[in-house]
Amino acid sequence: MGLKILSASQFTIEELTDFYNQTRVDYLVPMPMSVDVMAEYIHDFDVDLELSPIIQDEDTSEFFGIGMLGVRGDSTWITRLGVTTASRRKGAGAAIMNAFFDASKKIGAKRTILEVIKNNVPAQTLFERNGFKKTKELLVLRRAPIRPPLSPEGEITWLYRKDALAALRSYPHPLTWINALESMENASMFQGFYIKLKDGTRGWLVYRHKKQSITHFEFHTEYGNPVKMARNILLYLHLQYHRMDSYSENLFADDPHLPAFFDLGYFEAFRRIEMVKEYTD
Amino acid sequence: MAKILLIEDIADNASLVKRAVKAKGFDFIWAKNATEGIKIALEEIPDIILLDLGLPDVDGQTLSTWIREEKTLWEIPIIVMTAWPEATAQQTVKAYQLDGYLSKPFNLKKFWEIIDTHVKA
Repeated sequence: MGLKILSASQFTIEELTDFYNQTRVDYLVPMPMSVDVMAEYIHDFDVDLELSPIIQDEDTSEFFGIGMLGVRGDSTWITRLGVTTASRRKGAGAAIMNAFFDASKKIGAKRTILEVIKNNVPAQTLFERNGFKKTKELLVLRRAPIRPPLSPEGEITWLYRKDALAALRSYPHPLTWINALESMENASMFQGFYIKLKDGTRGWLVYRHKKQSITHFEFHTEYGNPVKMARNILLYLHLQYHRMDSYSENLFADDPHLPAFFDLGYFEAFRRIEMVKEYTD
Repeated sequence: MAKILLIEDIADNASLVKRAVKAKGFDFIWAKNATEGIKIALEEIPDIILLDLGLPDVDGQTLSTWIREEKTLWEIPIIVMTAWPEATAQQTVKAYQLDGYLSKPFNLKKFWEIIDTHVKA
């Protein structure tokens, strides 16, 4: 059985969405997408369709697998990788990985990044065999819309899009691909809050406000107690958006603000592992 | 005749549920995404909603909050269908004030145990 590798740019968004959803039916976290969600994802996370492979049967053109490659500066990011159930163990996964590596080298990338569900040990083993190393453990948290029982302390000011982007530009720590400055610059609704507490604690939260949820939180404590700072901002946030569902993706497992999330009713949905492959030559 | 609304994007899973509930004489309605799900729920007022958490347009958790906000729907039992580990499924049910969960892959015995708890045929 021969495989052919095509560029995703040869297909419509509708076709790509259908391909992607076909590969996810038996996943633990299937995350299927509508056409609109897929289009937003490609836009916000700088997916380069020209460099993203679609694998088909060489003779029949039956669809076997898909992968998408984000490109920013000298980094590439592997996402939406999947092979249909019927065509697994036939080399489609390896063909997609090779296409990613070839594309990354072609554009002079210094590293390729990906995230994988923590419980998916076979996938992590496969990526390790392909030269990836585990770098970070990431949490995905959720919260149902409930009005908080308390009011926040401190002086809180809104950060509108421009101010929120400026805050994120000053962020001193690394961010994952989906929460990086470029993702927020691409996103349509991005804002935040700044807080000053009586004891001098101060800091900010930036987040995306989507039509049906608030997502992609990043906290930064400039001074003082991170849990106190985050708890008061979250109280304010959930009073403002008390009917909105919330989820926070890719928080670092050692993020000092985490206890505040749990205080406000967030729970852990699942964990991801970030893996990175560096190109030395 | 009790009416079951299934909100699930995968046709094979929907066929499986349809066969099971039709065999017992229930009315079966299928919506393949969240947008269609809320619309059909409001039109049909089902006796129970079976809700897949991984939907393509809006995920099941968020959809459940929309359903709970609708006065004509808020008392309808919602059972989520998920492949999540048990602890995560339980936390989701508790946090979103849902009525139970069914683990995937589909187990007919457990399916009827939970349906019979909430619906009379």
